Amino acid sequence: MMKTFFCSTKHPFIINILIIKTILTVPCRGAVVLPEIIEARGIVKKYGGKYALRGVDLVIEEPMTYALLGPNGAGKTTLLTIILGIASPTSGTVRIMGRDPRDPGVRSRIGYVSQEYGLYELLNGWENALLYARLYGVPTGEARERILKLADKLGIKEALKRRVSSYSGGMKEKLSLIIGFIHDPEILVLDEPTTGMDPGSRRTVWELIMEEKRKGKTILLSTHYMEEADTLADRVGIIDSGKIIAEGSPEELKTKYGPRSVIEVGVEDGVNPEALKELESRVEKVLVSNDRLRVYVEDPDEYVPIVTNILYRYGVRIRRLIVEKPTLEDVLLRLTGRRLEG
Amino acid sequence: MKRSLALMVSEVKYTFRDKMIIFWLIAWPVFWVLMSAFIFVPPGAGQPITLDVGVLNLDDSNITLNGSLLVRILSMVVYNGTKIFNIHNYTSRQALIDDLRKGRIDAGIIIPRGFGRNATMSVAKLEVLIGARSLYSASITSGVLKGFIGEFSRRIGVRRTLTLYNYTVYYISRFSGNYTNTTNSNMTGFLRFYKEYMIGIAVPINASFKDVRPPGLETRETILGWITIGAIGMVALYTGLAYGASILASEKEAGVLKRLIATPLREEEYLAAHSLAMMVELGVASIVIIITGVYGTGARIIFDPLNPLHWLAAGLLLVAALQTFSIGAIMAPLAKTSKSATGMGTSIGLILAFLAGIWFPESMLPPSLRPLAEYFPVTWTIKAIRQILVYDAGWNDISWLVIGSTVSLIALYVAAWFILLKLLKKYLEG
Repeated sequence: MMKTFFCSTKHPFIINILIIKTILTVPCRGAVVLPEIIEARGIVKKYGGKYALRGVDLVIEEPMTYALLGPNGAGKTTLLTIILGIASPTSGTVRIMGRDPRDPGVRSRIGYVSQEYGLYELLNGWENALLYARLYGVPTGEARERILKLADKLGIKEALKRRVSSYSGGMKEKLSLIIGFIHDPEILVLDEPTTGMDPGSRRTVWELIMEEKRKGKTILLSTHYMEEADTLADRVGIIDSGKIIAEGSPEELKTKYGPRSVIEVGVEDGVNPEALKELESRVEKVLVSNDRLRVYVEDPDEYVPIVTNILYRYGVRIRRLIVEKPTLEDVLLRLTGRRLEG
Repeated sequence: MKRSLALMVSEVKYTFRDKMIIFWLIAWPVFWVLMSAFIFVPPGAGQPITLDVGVLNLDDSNITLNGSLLVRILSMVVYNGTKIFNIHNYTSRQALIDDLRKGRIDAGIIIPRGFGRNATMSVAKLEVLIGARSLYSASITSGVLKGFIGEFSRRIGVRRTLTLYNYTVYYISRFSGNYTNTTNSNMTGFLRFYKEYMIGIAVPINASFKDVRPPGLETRETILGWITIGAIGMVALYTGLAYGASILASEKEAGVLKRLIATPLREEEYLAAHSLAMMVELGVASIVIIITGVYGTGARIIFDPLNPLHWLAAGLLLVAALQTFSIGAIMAPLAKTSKSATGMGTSIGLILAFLAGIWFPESMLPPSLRPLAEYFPVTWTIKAIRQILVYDAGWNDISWLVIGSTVSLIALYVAAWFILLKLLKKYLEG
């Protein structure tokens, strides 16, 4: 599958593809057809007689952050390793920027942060990071500069001289991130990048990922944390039992699969029956209990002024107002029947 | 190649920071070289041994050849400048046996009453008791004493034969006239034949013995040279086997494997890096072992930088490293975890070191095990290294060993490469 790309400098890495002579066609004047950044079609993976993936399609056409959400054993890591060309699919095809992911030229453009850290415990942080920099062909001077900058941002600069065996889980994860980012890749594949981190460190990592996102990079991440997906992702794929069962932006998913938003209003001296009647005529559902109203609406941003206006007109005195919006957790619960956290 | 080198450097750094690996790679062989040098081949080894011999002389013969003469001769026997028997005189049989049982002396000789008379006139008896001060000393003591008494006995036999001959000549001349008359040539010829025949009865075979040992086993220094190379062979075997068998499993368990393969590093480069790392590690271990051997024990290792064969020996060390790495890699699918792979590699490596003519000479192995030493490729390589560095052999002496080592290396490495690539794919899929 190819997409038409009208020449612009919006995506510098795509221009780069032109330079390295990736298969391109020119369908019309001034326009070129560019391959998808990540294109996985009909991916099936079987271990013995057991299916890990059952025909997954995952296509990323333009730079974005894509989050794979799913319970344990849903097939997230398997899908990522197949996309990276580490494992082979039983059937289906994977292309990264139109090329085989096993091609070293493609691999040098991808940064991978694995769940297992992948660090040499008896080497220190520097040595680990420099090894991967050399494997990616980054000149030593440049690598040192980059390692220092990233370590400083992630707060492990001082620990770089220590052996990794002395690191905590969070520090290992941070070093693993530095390694994934060491060659300034165009595509980042992050397998649960903040697992084992404290909330503060998680925020720092999110900032780092956001920074990369702002640079126009493509980020494919799997995560356990709803907030992480919600904060970072432009698009979320919900995977369960080896299939992507829903896909869209967090807002789209919440709207489509989440429960209705609720405007909860605390009132003094009860609710006027006329006010209640008018409210019921304007919204989907209203529940009343003593001094509390629960108003179910599709778009709370649109309905908050309407509800407050009606109550004000009928002289109802509002004590407090809370808007409850659906979360990705709600979406996941609805789609898979399971929760990820807590 | 750059990527392989980068990974190899990290791998070598990692290895030399692992205390357990350091123990097996450096400490263990150094310990064996030192122990062998000072316990099994102590200073003075390679020289003839001196046996402590207890003597109980009960002989009362009043003639020249008697027990006292035997004791005196025993105490005067010297071989290559070393006194062979250290004589301790005893006055009772019981005291002599007690000391033998306590391992204070190597052997006891009881010279019975009438020994001298019987040795001169008929057949003398001599009681020799062999002790055992160590596992190997009994056979050595027995051999040395049998050799001495056999020689002593032969000399008495010759002396007695000549005495008999002289008497024979005397009586013939007394009863048959002057046999020395030149006209009586038949008699002269007969007596010459008769004399030689009689001496032949006493000494039917006069064997001559001469030391023609390999130069490497001539002195303690060269024996230690043999051991030093043996220690390198032993390390190559167990570390190579363990490394080859465990490398993929251990990197898989550490989570490094997937991460490395996700980089532009090709699978072939990955395997090449580990092969190189094995060669570097064994190279470093070999240098340490050779330094210990040469400077710590006085081992003689011949190395002339201008002799290309000596450089070939250095290359053969790397061949040994790759051979053992390959054998380990071929065994890798048999182990499920890195721990079991390491255990399997180390134990099989150690067993082979002892049974394949690498640490113990082939001549010390039971005949049933000798084919293992004869057909085991690593033994060919170590043999070739020894021939060059210890025996100072020429190309003609080692050409077949080198060809055999090289051909076997190619076969083993191709098989190992194929198996490791298959296993790597299996691990990455898992």
